[in-house]
Amino acid sequence: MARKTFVWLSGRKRPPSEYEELSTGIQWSGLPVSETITGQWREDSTLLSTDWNAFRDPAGMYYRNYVVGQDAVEKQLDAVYALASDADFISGLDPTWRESLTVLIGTMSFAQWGMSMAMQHVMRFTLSPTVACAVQLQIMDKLRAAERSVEWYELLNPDYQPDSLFRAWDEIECIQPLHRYIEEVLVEADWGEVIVAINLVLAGLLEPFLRELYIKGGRAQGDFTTAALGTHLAKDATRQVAWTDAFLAQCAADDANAKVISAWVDRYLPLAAAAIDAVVEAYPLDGIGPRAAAVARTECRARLEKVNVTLTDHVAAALAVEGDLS
Amino acid sequence: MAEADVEALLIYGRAPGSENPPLLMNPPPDWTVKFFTKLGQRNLNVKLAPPVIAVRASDGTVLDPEMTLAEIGMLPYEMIEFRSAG
Amino acid sequence: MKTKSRAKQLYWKPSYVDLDAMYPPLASAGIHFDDWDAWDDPFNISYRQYIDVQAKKELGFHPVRDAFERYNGDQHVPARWYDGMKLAFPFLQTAEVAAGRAHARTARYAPAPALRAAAFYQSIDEMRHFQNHIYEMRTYNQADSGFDNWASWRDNHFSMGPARYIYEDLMNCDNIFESIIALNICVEVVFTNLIFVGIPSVGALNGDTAMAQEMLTTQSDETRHMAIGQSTLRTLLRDDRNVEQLQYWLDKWFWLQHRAVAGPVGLIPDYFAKRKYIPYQQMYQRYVIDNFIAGMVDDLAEFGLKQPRFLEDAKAELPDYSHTLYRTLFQYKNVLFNKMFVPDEHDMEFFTEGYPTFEANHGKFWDEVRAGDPKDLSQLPMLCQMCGMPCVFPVPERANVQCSMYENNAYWFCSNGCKYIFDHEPYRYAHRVTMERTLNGLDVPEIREKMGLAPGLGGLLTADKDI
Repeated sequence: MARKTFVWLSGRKRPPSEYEELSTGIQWSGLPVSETITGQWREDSTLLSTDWNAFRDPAGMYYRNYVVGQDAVEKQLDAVYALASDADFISGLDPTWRESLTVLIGTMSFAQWGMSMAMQHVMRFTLSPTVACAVQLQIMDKLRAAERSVEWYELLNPDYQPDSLFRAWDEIECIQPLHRYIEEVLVEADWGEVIVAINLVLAGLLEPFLRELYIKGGRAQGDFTTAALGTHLAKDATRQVAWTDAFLAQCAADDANAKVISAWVDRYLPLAAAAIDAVVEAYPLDGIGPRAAAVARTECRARLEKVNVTLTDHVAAALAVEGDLS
Repeated sequence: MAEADVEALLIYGRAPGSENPPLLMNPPPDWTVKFFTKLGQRNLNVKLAPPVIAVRASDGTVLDPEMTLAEIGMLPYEMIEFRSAG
Repeated sequence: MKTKSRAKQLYWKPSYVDLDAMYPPLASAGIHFDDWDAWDDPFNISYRQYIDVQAKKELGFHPVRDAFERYNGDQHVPARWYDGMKLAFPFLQTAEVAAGRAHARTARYAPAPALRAAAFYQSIDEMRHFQNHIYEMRTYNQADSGFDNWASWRDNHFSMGPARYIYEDLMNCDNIFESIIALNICVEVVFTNLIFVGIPSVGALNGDTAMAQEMLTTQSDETRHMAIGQSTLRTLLRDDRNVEQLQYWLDKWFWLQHRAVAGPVGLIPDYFAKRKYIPYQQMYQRYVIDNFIAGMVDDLAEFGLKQPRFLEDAKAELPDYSHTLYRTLFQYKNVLFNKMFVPDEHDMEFFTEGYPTFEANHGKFWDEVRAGDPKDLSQLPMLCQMCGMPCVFPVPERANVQCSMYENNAYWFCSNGCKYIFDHEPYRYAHRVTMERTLNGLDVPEIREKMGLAPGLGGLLTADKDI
């Protein structure tokens, strides 16, 4: 006998998934019960407008499958880090690679953390219950990325001073465009804008960039730990891409939303591209850096097209790639 | 004289000793306090020992039984409490 | 496994935007603290450790719930129990969602980095909790489809009003420290032992092992939350400029949780449990008064914190709390989504033994019901502007209804506590419209329609299987 389900999920040919039963019906609408400045959830909290209850996370993640799944992959990464440390692979790394990596991994920890923080704002104010669930789990993924990055940084740099991470984030010139970008998004109130600025634009470039850098660079340098970190973070990021693109595609089916999203992309993408380029210029890493940036641009462009964003000349120029990627 | 087009009143009624909670009632404005006192007790499932008075709960004023509900000038959602005067 | 948080060191002060833009002072307005960066760290958990511990917990909970379903555990649960759970679970679920969203704001906007880090984990814990409660409703729904529209009850039904009023308001707080006092102290320290430790014992006794396991696994996360609350309170109390504000919030939220949480919870051990554990009054004494008041509040007296202002009012209500609320809901059984039943001999014996004033205060009501008077009321009761409960406490015959006039309107309250809060913050609460006002003048079928009650829901439970 088929399982009985909730009224709002009934009457469909295919029974709802556990994900749907656990993630829908959870947020209410109606007049706020109290008048505070912060308020409840407001229709005017974003320029976007869609059927907030219609969105479904293609990855179908909920608390249980998230923690159980992540527990399994964390055990894998535990083994990788333990081996790197116990078998002292670290002292065998090329010193230039190790030094570059230390700066990159260390400062990227802040970027991951900053993205997580920006998503907390989305989580509080989003009008969509299913976006709230997807964002909550993304926050945890970014927390994972930040902590594993710091952990690897500490292993690579055992003599690190207590404030060396901060100084890197604050002072290293090539990191500042990224640093500035994240701070400016952190003070944006429109949570739809934050989703576009962080998940579509910044992550749209940064995640594939780091993936390519860590995996290809790690492979080239015999650094399996960095390659493993890159693989794991990229796998986590696929869930973020899935929910973001599905959500924005749903919104962009409406012309008014598509215009709003395109305007946000126009504002943010050149800044995000410039932030990546600044890093690449300082850390070319034998050509791996520029190639990673080119792959990132290609993937980002494909995502923007899928989500039906109008690419202005400004944006197209920022995404232009020279030569082929083979 | 044409009847004034007055909106129905929204008044809570309660009676200590009633097992019912205070209830929101819609008495016509031309009912007297006396009439409302009789019907209010019935609504609240209570029969208080006479004489029964009606009190404006927000300030404790005893209401004139001969006045109409419109005349006493209660605000919407104010409460009338029915009590035994004895 | 690395267990210490590494992410905590990743908070930075902005270089490109104003500090006040990144961390608006609204989130802590009125609270004094010298150095937010030096905030006492309530705990220091890493993602790795969190995932490890929580994955283990999932392995402990779900098999019990699955087994309950698979082996028709519902056949060993009295019918009345389900009707109690229909009230309890949508209520709890609403609270958890609101709590999670409230702490998303704490995680982003609290002025102290250590507090932001702690709130990250609380926020995701609340996701676990609201999803666990839905797991329970999914399970119950297989045996009793009266759970199938729980979201609609939460949105439209007067009995869920207190959940919305109190938990949404907690989420709406401008000051994150008010949310912390409201939730971490006044729910999680004061009342969750009552809900998530006391009630599972009742559940297990009545055959509901799935619920017992769900509640206990939910409670296992509360230690972290209590730690946030306790360390926040202790830390802020060191500055005596904060005492007055913290005292007000303690007074306010203790009272509101006594209403929102402790009221409905009382119905479970006293009424909806066919097999009795201990009287609710005793549970409250043990888990709330002895644990919290004698424990924590007295500890904090050295910092100038007094016990909650309306504690004596709460204690005074205990002999009647569950009985008054049950009686009142019984009168509204035709407009509820759960069924109500007439207490049987065994119930009455339990009440008269456990509650010396039961016979005097409630005996006549039930005698009349047994003699054939259904006591049905066709209009909704006056609902308290502050908490949304019917204005019937301590007993309907002597209800302590209070009034405040504000901007030429009359507002009504169920208690001194609710009035006190409103009088302090009338602008915040004056615009709520209680449901008996919007549904006034409608007959029972119309009220049922407005509240989304399908035929068959509510009414009198006549067959209660023995266990």
